[in-house]
Amino acid sequence: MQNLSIAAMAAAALTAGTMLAAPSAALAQNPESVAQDIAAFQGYFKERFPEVTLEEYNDGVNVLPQYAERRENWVLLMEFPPYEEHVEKGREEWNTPFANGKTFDDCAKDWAPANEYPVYVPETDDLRTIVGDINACLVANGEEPIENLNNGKMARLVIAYKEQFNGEPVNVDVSHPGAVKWYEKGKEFYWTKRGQLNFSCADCHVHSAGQSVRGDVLSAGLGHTTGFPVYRTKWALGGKPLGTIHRRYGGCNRQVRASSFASQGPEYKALEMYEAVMNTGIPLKVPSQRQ
Amino acid sequence: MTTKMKIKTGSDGGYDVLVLAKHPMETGNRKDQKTGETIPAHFIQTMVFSVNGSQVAQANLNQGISANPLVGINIKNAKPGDTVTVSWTDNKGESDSAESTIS
Repeated sequence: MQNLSIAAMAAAALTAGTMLAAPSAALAQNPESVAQDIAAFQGYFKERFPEVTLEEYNDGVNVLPQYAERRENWVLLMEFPPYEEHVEKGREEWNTPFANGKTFDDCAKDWAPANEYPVYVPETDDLRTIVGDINACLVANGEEPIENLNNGKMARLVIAYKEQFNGEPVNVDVSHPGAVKWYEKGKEFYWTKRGQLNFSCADCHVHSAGQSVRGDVLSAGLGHTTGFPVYRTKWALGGKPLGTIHRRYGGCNRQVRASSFASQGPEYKALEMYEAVMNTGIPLKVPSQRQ
Repeated sequence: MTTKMKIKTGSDGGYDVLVLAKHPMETGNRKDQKTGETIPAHFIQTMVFSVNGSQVAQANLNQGISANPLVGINIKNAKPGDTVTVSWTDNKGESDSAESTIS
């Protein structure tokens, strides 16, 4: 009964409302167990927020019933989305030719659709992210790679690529055993407690989703990857409104008083893989606005 | 400074006109954190809405309104094809306007 493993136990534990133990890496590593994990994860939220459909989770915390009284504010904000000017700037940057006359479009022909990222590369046993591909494209065309992987130009370029696939459901390929290994690594990260506050990702975004942390409502763990890079109101106050998902991961880690990992490092790439797999079937909506 | 306008069908049969004005809306009470000098007041004072050239509403804004204010009105007795205009003037005499046609 190796396949029963954590997914089934997770479902049982979650419905019972008890804490879930961090999964051990020694458990089953195959695509079937991944499918079970997806069903358990999405099933948990279906039970917890029955009024929210799977597709709606790309609006993040705004769809949760606990956020209802603030939702009107968000709906009004979306009448004139604050990210519009950044999106336009990103499109310009995307279409600006390199010194050799080529553009990002020439690179993107060989990329996977944005809803299939992160992509596992068996040859190097590595994950490809859009951020990494953009810098690889720059280097291949004799340009300087972008140093800041968190905000600004990089975020705008990722938006320029991802927005072309808006509405496409997330569908990450985990058929390769190597991909499952990355997935398991991300899963372990997600469920491992860290920092002085001793929180795992799941403590806030699974067990406590929809509850308040002071003035904010905790988002559900579902849908996190579908809207990034986002325009975040909190970041806008500091003058850098856009951020990639790895920027958010770093902030999340520091908020539980853990030290953050490097953007595009193996830890966050694995976490992105796990979150993207959990979001299977949720349509992309890039960019999005978040609090 | 730009002004954007959007017209939607309201729930009660009229039209909801939403206006987003890009404006700093300085109160005159803030100080520049580096130089310590007071930032002079700069805010929208009047915002006038017209349908086909005749004024239907006027909003008097002041320092208490946030930067980049979003102002909305509901117009009844308007029909598709009507032109809605909004124009505003601030305390420095600067102004901007936007126009949209009801569809």
